[in-house]
Amino acid sequence: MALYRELPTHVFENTAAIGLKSRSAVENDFVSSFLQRHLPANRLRKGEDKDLKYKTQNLDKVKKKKPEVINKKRRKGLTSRERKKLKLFDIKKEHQSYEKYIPMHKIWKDYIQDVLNIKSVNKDNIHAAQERLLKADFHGSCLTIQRSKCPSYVGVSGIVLQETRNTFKIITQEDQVKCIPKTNSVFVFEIGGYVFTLHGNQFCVRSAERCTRKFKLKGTIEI
Amino acid sequence: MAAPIEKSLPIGKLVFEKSSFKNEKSKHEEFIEDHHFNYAISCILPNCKRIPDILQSSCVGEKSFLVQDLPLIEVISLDLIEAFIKRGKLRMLSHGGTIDGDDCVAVLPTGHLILHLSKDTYQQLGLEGKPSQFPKRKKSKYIVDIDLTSPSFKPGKKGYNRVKWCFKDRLGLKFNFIATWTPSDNEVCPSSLQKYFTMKGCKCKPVKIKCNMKKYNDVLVPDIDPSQVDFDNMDYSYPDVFEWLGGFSCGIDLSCNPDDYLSTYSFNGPTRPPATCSYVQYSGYFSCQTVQSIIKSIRDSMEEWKLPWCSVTVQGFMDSPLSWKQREHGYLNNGDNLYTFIIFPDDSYWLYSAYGSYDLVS
Repeated sequence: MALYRELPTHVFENTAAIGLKSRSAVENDFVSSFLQRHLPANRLRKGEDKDLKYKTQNLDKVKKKKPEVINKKRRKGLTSRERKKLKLFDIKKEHQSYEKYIPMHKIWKDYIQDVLNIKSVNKDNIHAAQERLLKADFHGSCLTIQRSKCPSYVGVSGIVLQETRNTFKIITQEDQVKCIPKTNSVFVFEIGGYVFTLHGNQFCVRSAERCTRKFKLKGTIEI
Repeated sequence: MAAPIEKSLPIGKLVFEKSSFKNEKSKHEEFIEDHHFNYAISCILPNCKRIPDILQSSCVGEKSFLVQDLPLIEVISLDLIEAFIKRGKLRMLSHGGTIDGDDCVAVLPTGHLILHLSKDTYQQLGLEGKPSQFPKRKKSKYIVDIDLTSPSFKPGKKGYNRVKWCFKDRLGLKFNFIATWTPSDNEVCPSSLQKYFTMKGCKCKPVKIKCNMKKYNDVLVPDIDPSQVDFDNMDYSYPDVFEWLGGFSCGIDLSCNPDDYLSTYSFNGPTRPPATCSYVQYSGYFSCQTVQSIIKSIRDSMEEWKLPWCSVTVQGFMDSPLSWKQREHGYLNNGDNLYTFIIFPDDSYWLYSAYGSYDLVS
């Protein structure tokens, strides 16, 4: 059986004028040129397109991927990938204003003062306050970046909207939402006349995990 | 496991050039201008019994001064930029700090403010910069380059405000500066910069210029032939001459006494008959203009003083963040950045420029 259909007569008559190759020439190297085009580069390098005798390629028995069955019983909520897709945590443009979050900051202030028991903090029990601070929640706190490996982060200050394992999402006074990585930065906040410093490198834990986690002392605070 | 040994660097580099002052393409003037911070000028005058007054007057009359505790915010003030940086050549260098440990600052006549910052300061300051070339692997120093004369660098613009905020509110950096200013307008007095800083409330005092004069009798001075092009067929080469100059400046006995216990060094090439030889070194802080004028006056009076040749060596500050132009400078074994002109009566010159190991050579 011929590999190709016959050319239409008006083309066939003018083959020489168009500059087409003769049919037999095309047919002879069809397989090799097909392989040249479609085989992956590493198989071409092995010379598989030339030595065809012992190679087989299954065309029909291709394994089908099983569709992933989500165990709906076990998972109640959405996966994080789905959450990302739905843009649940993205703050809409119209809600990005600093003033809207000031009440949240006020609530946080009351909360942290309660947690730290700021009025009774003195030199002796400041260590206990630091322990409690580790387990506190930082949503709504007003953080300033005091030093960072990347100098353009330095001086950014604002209210924390979201804390993930590795980042703080902050809204600045210029109504900009910024996502700042905790690693290689040092954060500062002030409460009740005390200035607290958070070393971001040692703070890379999810806020929910942090309250149950045991922290180890780390030697260096260099960033 | 042992700590990795850093690849050893050459102790220094020596570049030799040969040309004539009369040559139109000779770049000696630009070369001097590009070496911004001159710490010391030393001259060797063979066959000369007295140091000429003209050297003394031009060195001692140098109008460089020290500004104490100048906040960096003053350097970027618009008054200074408009009145001094744009209308002349302002060179300022922070004084007292070491280049490998502390922060160093330099203002160049091109209007660039170069901050050579340690890692701690860089991370807290908040200005974007590049890690320094030296040391190569360990990023312990950073360089921030701010163009003060850029048209977008003015109050109200974002970049200016950021720099201002960083200097003023972040760390409040203060430095002792040594400064010279060469106005492009001849009618303005160079000391008006000093007055400006005094008005701003900074203490200014002139840089003390130390003078060190020596006279040696019966010195065998090398007989240098300036017309020599090919050093291969000669007894001596240009490094030998440079070595002799160095030895002489240090006051080493170079009389090639073979039985001497301390030094048996002698110059390889031919020497002139023994004669009195003078050496003078002025140290302080000199503007490039002073160097230019010294070289010019020596050139003019070569004939009169009957010198076979004369050498002028200009040493840069060890702890300056830059050597020539905007090329980085560091301190490993020695913070060498110096150049030597050997001037001949026929207006030709030999130029040596010596670099330390932490120096970029173009």
